[in-house]
Amino acid sequence: MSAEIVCEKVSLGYETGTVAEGLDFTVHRGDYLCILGENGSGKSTLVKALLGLHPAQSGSITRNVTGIGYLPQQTVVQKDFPASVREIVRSGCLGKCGFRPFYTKTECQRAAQNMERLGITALARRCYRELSGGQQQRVLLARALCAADSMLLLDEPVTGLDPKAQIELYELITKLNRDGVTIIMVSHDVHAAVKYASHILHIGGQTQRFFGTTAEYCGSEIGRIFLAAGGAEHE
Amino acid sequence: MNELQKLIDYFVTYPFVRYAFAVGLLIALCASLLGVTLVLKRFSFIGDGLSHVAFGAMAVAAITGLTNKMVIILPVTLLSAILLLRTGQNTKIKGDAAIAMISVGALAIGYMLMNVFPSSANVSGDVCSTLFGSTSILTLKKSDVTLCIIMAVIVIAAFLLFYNKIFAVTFDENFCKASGVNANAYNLIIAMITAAIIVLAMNLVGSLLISALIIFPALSAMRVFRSFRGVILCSAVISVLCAAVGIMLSILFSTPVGSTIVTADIAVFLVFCGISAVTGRIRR
Amino acid sequence: MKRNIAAVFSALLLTACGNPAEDSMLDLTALNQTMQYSQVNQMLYEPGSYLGQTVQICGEYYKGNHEPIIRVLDEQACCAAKITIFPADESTFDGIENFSEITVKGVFGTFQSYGVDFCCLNQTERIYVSKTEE
Repeated sequence: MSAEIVCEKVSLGYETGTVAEGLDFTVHRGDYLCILGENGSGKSTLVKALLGLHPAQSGSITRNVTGIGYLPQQTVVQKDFPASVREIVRSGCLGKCGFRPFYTKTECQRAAQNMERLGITALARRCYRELSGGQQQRVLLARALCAADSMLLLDEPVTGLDPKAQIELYELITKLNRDGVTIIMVSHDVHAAVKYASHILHIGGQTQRFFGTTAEYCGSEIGRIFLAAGGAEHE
Repeated sequence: MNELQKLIDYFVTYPFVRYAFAVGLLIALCASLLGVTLVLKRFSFIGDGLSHVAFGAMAVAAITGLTNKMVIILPVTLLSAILLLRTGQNTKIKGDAAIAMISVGALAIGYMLMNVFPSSANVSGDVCSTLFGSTSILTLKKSDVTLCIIMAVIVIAAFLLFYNKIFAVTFDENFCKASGVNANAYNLIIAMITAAIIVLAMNLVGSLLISALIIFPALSAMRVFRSFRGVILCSAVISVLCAAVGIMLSILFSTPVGSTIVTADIAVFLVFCGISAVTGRIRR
Repeated sequence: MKRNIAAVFSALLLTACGNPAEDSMLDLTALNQTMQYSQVNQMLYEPGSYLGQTVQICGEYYKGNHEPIIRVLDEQACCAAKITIFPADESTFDGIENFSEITVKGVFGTFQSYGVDFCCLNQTERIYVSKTEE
C-alpha cells in the first residue's frame, strides 16, 4: 500500500494566525478518507494545502501522486454559466495541455469515457445550468476525473442536494473508490462519513482531534460524541 | 433600396466610410469576444470604468502636448486593468467600489484638467466626442485603421489560442489553479486585452458607450444559446451586424454613430429576450 | 445586383482606395451634414489626392485676424473642420457677416504659414443657393 500523501506535524494558517496545527496523517492508495469538522475548523485551508495552493506554516506535506482531481464547492457564477456539459468535462484536461490551444483526440476520448463512467453521456450537449443539482455534481466529478484519475479531493460534494441525490452521489463515489480511485472528502455529514469512508480525519478546536480507521472512530470518545450529536440534529 | 444604392456609392467613393466600416466591425468583433468573459466574471462595468481612466489619461496626455497620446493612455489603462481585474472573479464588494471610485475620479479629474489647461480651442467638443463618440469613427486616418487592424489581429489570435484556457478560468478559477493551469497569467492576459480594446474603442463609440458594446451582444447571446462556443459565436455575429447597421444608418440619416449602434444592440437584445421567452414556454 | 456589389468589393480590394470623381467638381453640399463634415476632415488629413480639385462646400464664414475661413460643423455642432478660403478677387467676401452660412466653390490646395502646411481653397467664388425653408 503506497503512501500517496503524508502530512507530518503540519500547521496551517494565514498572516492573522494559525488555523489548525498538529495535523499528522497519511493517505494510502485506495483509501477513502473523510475529513470532518465544524465550520471554521480549517478544513478549507487544509484542502488548499493538500492541493498545493497554500503553503504550510510548519511541518511537511509530501505528495506522491501525479495529480489530484478537485471538486470544489460551487460558486455563484457556475449556476448561470452558458456551457455545455462536454465543454466543462473537457476542461479538466487543461492541466496537461500546456500551451497547446486544442484538446487532442486522446483527451477528448478520455472525457467521453469519464462521462460514460458517471452515466452522463446523454447530457453531453445539454447546458450545465439546466441540470439538476445531482447531475451538475456528476459533471464536475467527471471533470475532476479528467484532471487526475488516481486521486480525487471532494469539497462538500453533497451540499445543497436533496436526500435522494445525496445517496446517489455517495454510491457513485464509493463505486469509484472500489475501482481504485483514492478519495479524500471534506464533509459535514458524520453519518455518511462513517457509512462510506475507510478512514476519518477529525479537525476541531484548531487541532487534529482524530485520525484513524472508521471503526476506531466509532469507538473513540470524540466519535461517539459527534455521532450522538449528529443523530440528535437529524431528529 | 434607394438608400442602399446611396450607401454603396458612398462606400466606393469616400475613403472615410470604408475606414469607418473596417474599424467599426473589427472593434465590435473584439469587444464582443471579451464581453462574454467579462460579463460572466461579473465585471460588466469594467468597460465604463476603464474608458473613464483612459479619458483621464488622455487629458493628462493633452497637457503634455505629446503628438502620440497613446504613449501615455495605453500604459495607464493597462495598469488600471491589471489592478482591477487581477482579483479574478469579482466576488468581493471591494472590487465593485474600486471600479466606481477610479472611474468617477478619473472622469472628474480629466475633465477638470481639460478645462484648466485647454490644449485645443474646442474643449467641450473634444470631451463630447471622446465621451459620446459623435463622429470620431468617421474622421479616422489611414494610420488609425492600420493600428486597429494590427490590434484586432493580435486580440483575435490571442483569443483563439487561449480559448480553452479562457473558458476554464472564467468558469472555475479554483479548479484551474488546482489542476496546474496558471490562472493568474490568463487573468492577466484577459486584463491586457480588455485594456487594449477599450482604448481603441474610444475612437468608435466613445467612453460612455463602450460598456454597452461589451455587454449587450454577450447578454443577448446568453438568452438563447446554451454552450460557451455558441454564445461566443452568436455574440460576435450580433455585435458585427449591429455595428454595420448602426454605421449605415448614422451615415444615411446623420445620427450620432455610437448611439445608433447601441440602439441596434438594444433592439436585438429585446428580440432575443422574446425568443427565449417563447422557446422557454414551448419547451415546457 | 449581387454581382455588382461583388465586383465593386473586389475592385476595392485590388486598388485599395478609390477617390471622389476626379473629372468633375466635388460637390459636398449634396451630402448630409455628417458626410460633409467627415469628407472635409478626410481632405484635411490626407490632402494629397484632392489637390487641384474643384470643391463646393457649404459652411459658416469667419474672418478674424487671419485669412477668412469656412467652418464645416458636424450634425451635433460639436466639432468643426476649418478651411482657409482665398477669394477669386478682392471683393468676393465683402459684406459677409461672421458666422453666416455661405456656399463656396474653389480649387483645393495647400499653403504654408509659420512653417506649417494648411489646406485652403483657391480662387474661391461665392455660390448663391436659394434655400427652401423647411
